[in-house]
Amino acid sequence: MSRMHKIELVDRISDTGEFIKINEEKCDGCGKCALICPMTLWKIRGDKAYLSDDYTDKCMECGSCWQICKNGAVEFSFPKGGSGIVVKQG
Amino acid sequence: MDKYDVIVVGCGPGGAIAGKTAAEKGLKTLILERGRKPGEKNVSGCGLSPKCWRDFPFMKELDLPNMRVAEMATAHFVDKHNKELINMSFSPSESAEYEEARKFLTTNVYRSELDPWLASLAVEMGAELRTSTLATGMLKSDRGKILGIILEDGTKLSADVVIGADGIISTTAISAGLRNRWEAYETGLIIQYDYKATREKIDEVIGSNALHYWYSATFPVAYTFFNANGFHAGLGGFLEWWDKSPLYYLDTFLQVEGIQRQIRLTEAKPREYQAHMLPFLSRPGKTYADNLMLVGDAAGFACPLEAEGVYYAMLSGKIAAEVGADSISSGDTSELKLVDYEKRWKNSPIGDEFEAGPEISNFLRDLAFNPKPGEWITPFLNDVMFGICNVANSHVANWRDMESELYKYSPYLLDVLLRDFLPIIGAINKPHSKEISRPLKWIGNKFGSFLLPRIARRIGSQKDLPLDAMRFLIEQFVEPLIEARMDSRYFKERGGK
Repeated sequence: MSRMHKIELVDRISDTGEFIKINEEKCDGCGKCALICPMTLWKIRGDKAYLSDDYTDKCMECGSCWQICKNGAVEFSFPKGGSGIVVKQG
Repeated sequence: MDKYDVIVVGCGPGGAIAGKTAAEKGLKTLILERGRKPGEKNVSGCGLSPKCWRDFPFMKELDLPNMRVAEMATAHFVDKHNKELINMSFSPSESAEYEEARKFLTTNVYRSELDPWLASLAVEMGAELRTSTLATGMLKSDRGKILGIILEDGTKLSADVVIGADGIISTTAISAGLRNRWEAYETGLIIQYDYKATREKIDEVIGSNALHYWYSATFPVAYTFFNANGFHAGLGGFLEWWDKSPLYYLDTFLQVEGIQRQIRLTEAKPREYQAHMLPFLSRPGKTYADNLMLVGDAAGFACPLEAEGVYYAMLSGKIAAEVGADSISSGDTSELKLVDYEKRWKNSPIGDEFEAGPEISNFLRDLAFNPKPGEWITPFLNDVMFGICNVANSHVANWRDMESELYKYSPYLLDVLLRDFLPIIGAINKPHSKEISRPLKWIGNKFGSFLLPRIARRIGSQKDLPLDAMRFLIEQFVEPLIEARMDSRYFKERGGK
């Protein structure tokens, strides 16, 4: 199934606010966040990781990018209460 | 500032049972949930084990619209060409200890139905539930003592005891300084599709054979678990394991003909795509501080083998609320008192589950979350069955050839026996070590578990030795172990003969 198809299979409440940040000083561009993200929202350009601009509309809040970064460069918090992903058949 | 006896952060199964138990004890209890309703943020397999019914009498009332009782499970073995070669099923044993365990393996439910029901039990008991409410940190005194919770809008709530039931990315645990995030090798990522089908189709095609495990040489261990009107198809692995996108492995899994057939026959359509992290700790860390206890995934209480979490969350939630109630009535909620929580969970099925935690983690890492051994395990199991049953030649001729056919697997078998199985057996027998033979004690220690696999590989590389070596090792290790267990007090207490 294509990436677009997967996004159609996820429901959410918008207005999350920002909840993931990358600390560019700590990031060494190893690419693990890009490998693991189940929504493929990270890209590596040069030696830095970049998060897709529309991540708040796509992120499933699994936290894998935060968990896998050996340098602790990914800052993850949860979106505003009552917003973000809605799992209907979890 | 609103003041509570107990604030529970997170309303999954751990939080709901903690809130229910605290409210039952007459404590002023608040449960915070970041979703608009409980279960909205949660993803799981999701099979509830019979233990839930054994230990929680209210579970007899459980009647969710889309639950399916699994009375049989099937393990499928897939080879390196992504082709299923052999499968086998199992059912509850008549010798199981209690009624539910004799009736079913799991009861499969959706968390979107289970979690609101568990929360309603807490609310019925008088707990207050605030949804769409995100806790962002701990309210602390100038000296760093935990006094309550801070919400995202800055609201401060005070509590004598905080119970952190906020999952693997636990704001309470991290904000209290009990832990930072765990290591990548201690956590797993699970991704899955939920497929929609009709109840009638699943009844017809699957029935109560509702748990399917897929073990393969081409993807880490995967599953199709069936509920009443749909099923989960997914897989997972330790976070540091993935060498390709998890999506690549999920797609490979879904191409297996057996899965495609399940999808076709049930006329299922993908309904939802889901991802979640799970703790896979070999041993939980500290789970309490002054005025704080952690339960469920926040504490790392998922079974180290199958990552079953709901039961351990419910049990730890209950224990934490009971210890919290005791500590509040005694006027001491410091960690000197809350250490009782750790003593109690260590003495419960939670502690029991982690008795061989590091050994089970190794087993998972080597065999389940790693497709590589599937390259020999799948053909090995198939060659055994084929060797016994095939009619391509006379049976006697087949059986005559079998020993030499299976001979090629003996180095692998020896390796797995020594590196993965015997250390687990050694670890679970530690409390009864007086009754265990010396070789077994030896493999239980670090030196033995380091050296024996290496010896095994050396033996495996000697062409004429493996089968004799297998016999030698079985005589030396496995038979004394069986004898030791037969004799042990532990075994007799459980009614063994």
